[in-house]
Amino acid sequence: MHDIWLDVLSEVETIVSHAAFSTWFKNTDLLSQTDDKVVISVPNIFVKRQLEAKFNNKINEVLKKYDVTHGNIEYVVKTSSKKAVVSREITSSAVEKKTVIKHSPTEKPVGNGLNERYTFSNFIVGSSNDLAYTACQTVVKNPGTKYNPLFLYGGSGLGKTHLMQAVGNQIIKEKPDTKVLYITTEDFYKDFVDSLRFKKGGFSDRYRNVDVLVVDDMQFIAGKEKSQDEFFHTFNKLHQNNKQIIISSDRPPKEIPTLTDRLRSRFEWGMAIDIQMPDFETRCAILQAKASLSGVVLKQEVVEFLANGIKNNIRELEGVLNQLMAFSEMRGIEPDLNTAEGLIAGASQPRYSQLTPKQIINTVSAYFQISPKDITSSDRSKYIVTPRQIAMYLLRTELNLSFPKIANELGRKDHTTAMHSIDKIDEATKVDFLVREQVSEIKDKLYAK
Amino acid sequence: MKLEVSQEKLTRALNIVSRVASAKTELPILNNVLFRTDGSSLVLSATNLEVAVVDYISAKIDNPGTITVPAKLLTEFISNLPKSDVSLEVKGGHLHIQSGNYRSTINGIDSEEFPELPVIDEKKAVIFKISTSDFKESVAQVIASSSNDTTRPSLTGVYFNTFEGNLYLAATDGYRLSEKMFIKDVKSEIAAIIPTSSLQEVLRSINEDTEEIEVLFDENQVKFRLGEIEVTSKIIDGSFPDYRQLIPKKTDIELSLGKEEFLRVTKLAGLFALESGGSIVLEAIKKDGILSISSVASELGENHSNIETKVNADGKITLNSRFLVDGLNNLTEEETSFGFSGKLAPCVLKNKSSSDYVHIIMPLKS
Repeated sequence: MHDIWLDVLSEVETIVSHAAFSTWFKNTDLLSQTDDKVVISVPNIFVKRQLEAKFNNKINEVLKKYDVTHGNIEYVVKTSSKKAVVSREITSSAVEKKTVIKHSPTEKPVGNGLNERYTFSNFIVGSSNDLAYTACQTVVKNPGTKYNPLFLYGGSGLGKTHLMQAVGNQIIKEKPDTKVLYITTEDFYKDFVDSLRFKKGGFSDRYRNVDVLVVDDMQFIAGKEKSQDEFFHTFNKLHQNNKQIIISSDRPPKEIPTLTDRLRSRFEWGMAIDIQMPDFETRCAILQAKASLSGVVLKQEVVEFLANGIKNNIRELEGVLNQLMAFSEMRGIEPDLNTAEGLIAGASQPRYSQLTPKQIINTVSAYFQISPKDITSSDRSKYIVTPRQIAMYLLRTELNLSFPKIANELGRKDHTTAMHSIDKIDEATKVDFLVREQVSEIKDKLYAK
Repeated sequence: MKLEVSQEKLTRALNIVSRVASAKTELPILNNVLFRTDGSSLVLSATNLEVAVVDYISAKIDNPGTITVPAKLLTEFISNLPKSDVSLEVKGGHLHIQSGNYRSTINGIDSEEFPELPVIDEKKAVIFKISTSDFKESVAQVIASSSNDTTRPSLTGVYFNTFEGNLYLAATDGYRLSEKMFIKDVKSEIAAIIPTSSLQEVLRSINEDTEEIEVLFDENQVKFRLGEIEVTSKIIDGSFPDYRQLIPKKTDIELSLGKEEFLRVTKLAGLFALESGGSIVLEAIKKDGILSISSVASELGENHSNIETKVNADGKITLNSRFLVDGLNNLTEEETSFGFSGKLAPCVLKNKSSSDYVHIIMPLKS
């Protein structure tokens, strides 16, 4: 098609002036040709208008000579892949740009709260989350029967919402008639309060007439007894009718304070799965997948640097990656190690600079309500040993101290004890929820201003 | 064509329109301004094929008609005439001009050769209206941050974009970035880069009589309507960086400074920063409650000033003094909020009491 256009152009060149030709025909091309129209691309609106108004007949004649059969010639302004968006109404693409869309039943009970961005295909599976991933896929295949309820728990930014939304989206894709509702506990609570306050009807119908109910951030229901009651009844109704329920929380059911026993036991009926911190390889895979979605190829060293710099929150990891890509695009440079270093330093500078070994020991002892002297003593009582091991672990992970140095900080001569203790806590954080919770709370305290 | 028009009106219109008639292109006709009659108006148009400016002025029309004449010559001739009515007449491809005892004939080019100017379908276009003063202030606040590096065309304009229901303007040259909330609560969606040069034409075309500016978008063009004047521009093809990622949500050091004083010390420090590429060092010192600004020129000497203010944390940043001056000049309030987080992250300049304008500057490596 391009060749035909070159022939047409050389013909046009002979019948218009040189200046006119180079002004009006440079960067034009034949885009498509069908029986009823020919589409010609032009570089801008001025050329488009001029060709339409002044050169249409000439182009027409020449095209006929070359046997390009057509009815009309249409001129379109050529744009790169990302063209200007101009539309009178907010389109779905605008909505998509927002990272979180939550269903707010108080205003619009129509939407199902799902965001199409979250799918299984863009979820990166690694050893830390493959169990949860498999369980979710099973739920898609056998909604309401196999794992009901499915209870996902894990720290923030690890992909709980992504997985739950993916289940909803996938079910709708496979069986479009299924009624799926995604809500946050907060939405549920607000909606419930509103229904009481304004005596609005239809509250229970809204939640009880669905096939799949997805509830995010269940920990927030703690202490809200009436909501718990209401949720209990909703739960029972759905469960009796073999409707699928998926729940997420930042901790397992038994760790949610003031959760009534009957609700807790129900949450434990089905399957409770822990999503853990992703390992290094998974973090690298996530970074590469996200970058290639944006059409950027990241150097291995940059990927590794970022994956090393941010260890316990995927959302933060993606945030830094987005920053890096935006920054590089703006500066017109390749995303490189230098830039990445600047960003990480900017994002979490205080983490690495101000902490001292003494602070860690003090914070740990304060957390466990023992004295710092106990930690550095040789007392082997259980209530002191665990805090001591956690302190060693934190000295290693947060300050990257050497084993002998750690032993020294705690008034010990033998560094193998430190090695052993650190390994032990490291293992424990993977399997024991309580230890992980303690470590993360101590970290929060360490970095809280 | 035969008509009479006041010299003042014609001069003003020619001054606005003829600026875009340029000798840059190969097409000689683009050096000309097009005269045509439309009812009781004389319409002047010129274009450089990136932007077109059209002005309608009222005139006493005896005979309709049209011609194009060299913009520069005509503008200089008309503006030097006395302030009275000028009569224009086209005869045999020449424009005859007469005003009292002044007479002249200018050779024209047939208006058939003048390019057709783009038209925008107002039924399909997205239309915004904004007061002239708001338009002027907002565009002026961001335009200086745009780039003139033509190898990166998408930065050579101002990015009109909607985000969470509001229309924003943004511009960056890779070293600094300005963002202004332009119009609140819009129902439409826009993401289009308008050439900086076109916006400058719009700013120059504003006169005191226009109270409101109408902005019309379609996919390929934008039109600014300022009363009798219309500026139509192409839209830059390309994508603007995802700049919102770069605006720090929070900075470690937050200072509140008087704009005039901050500007003064920055200019002073800039004098000693010429050989270091404008680099000046700003250091917040908590215990003394000062922001210290210093620069060193090994041959000239050095400069050191302090501004007393409440400091919440210690920190240091190296900035280009010229960018800081530009950034401060974009602020409209007397009190400035200045925030930064160490040597590598960008610093943030804002008005103290409003957040509709944000200016960020990348630090220099020190």
